[in-house]
Amino acid sequence: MSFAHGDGHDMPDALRARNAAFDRFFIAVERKAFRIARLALQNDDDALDAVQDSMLQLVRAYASRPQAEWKPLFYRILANRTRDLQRRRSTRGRLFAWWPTGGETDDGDDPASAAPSPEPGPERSLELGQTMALLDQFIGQLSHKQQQAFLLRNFEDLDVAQAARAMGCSEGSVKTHYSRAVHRLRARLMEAES
Amino acid sequence: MTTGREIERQARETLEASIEHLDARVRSRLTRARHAALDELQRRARRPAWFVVPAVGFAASAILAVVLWAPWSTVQDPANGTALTALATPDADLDFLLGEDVFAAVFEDPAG
Repeated sequence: MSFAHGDGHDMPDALRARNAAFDRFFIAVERKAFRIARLALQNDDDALDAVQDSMLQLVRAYASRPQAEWKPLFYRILANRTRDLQRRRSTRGRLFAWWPTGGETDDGDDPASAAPSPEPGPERSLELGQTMALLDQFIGQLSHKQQQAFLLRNFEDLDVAQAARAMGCSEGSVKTHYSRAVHRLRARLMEAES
Repeated sequence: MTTGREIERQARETLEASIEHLDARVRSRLTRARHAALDELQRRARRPAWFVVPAVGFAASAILAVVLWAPWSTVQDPANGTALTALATPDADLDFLLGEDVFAAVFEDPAG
């Protein structure tokens, strides 16, 4: 899919090229970004909101940056947006905790470590569903930083330096969080197998 | 026993497969999000930066001030400038500068 949005005919070549580059970039990252946000937020609509906000923030604040910086910046924004949504839900959860109807009380103090929805969702095939639900559950139980390190390195293919920029921490921290995430996932899988 | 490498591979394959199976509603929302971001990009590109208008105004004021207040701007009339310069010269040709009528008036005998 190529850039064919808006009235690009009267745009200068440089501007058209930049828009096309952003279009390609968003196409390349949008599904993985949604998946990463979905794992942290456990909700499709919240994850979609986080991805859209991050795209807008990237073009508003960092459009002039070199293209090589877009991916770490985008995931940095997405991580901040995801954390904001988690905090908001957590606050909302505490506010409504006493409410007897209990519609909003499932959020808990740390949504990242909360159990995922028991329903795998209609979009998943039967074969994929079980594995995906299990992986969702295990990744959801990792700490926020472990999730980020694991998903950015293993799923989004960022190198250690890029992941460090995206997470706002040192390269050593990325390696530590990644290693702990892998060990924890392995332990959980072994428990599930036995 | 499952190794770390196997966990990484399995997780990657499962996640990759999951994004191939996103439902139509999610894909549509992602497309709309992308278009909204690209629209924003175009809007911002067309709009002049916030500092351009005051900067242009300030620059124009500065140029105008320099033109009006600079020392060389007082010598506006070339004729005056020439006259003053010529008077300062010791061997100035007063006939040329003042004309015959002036000399006639000065040296005329008031008694007649």
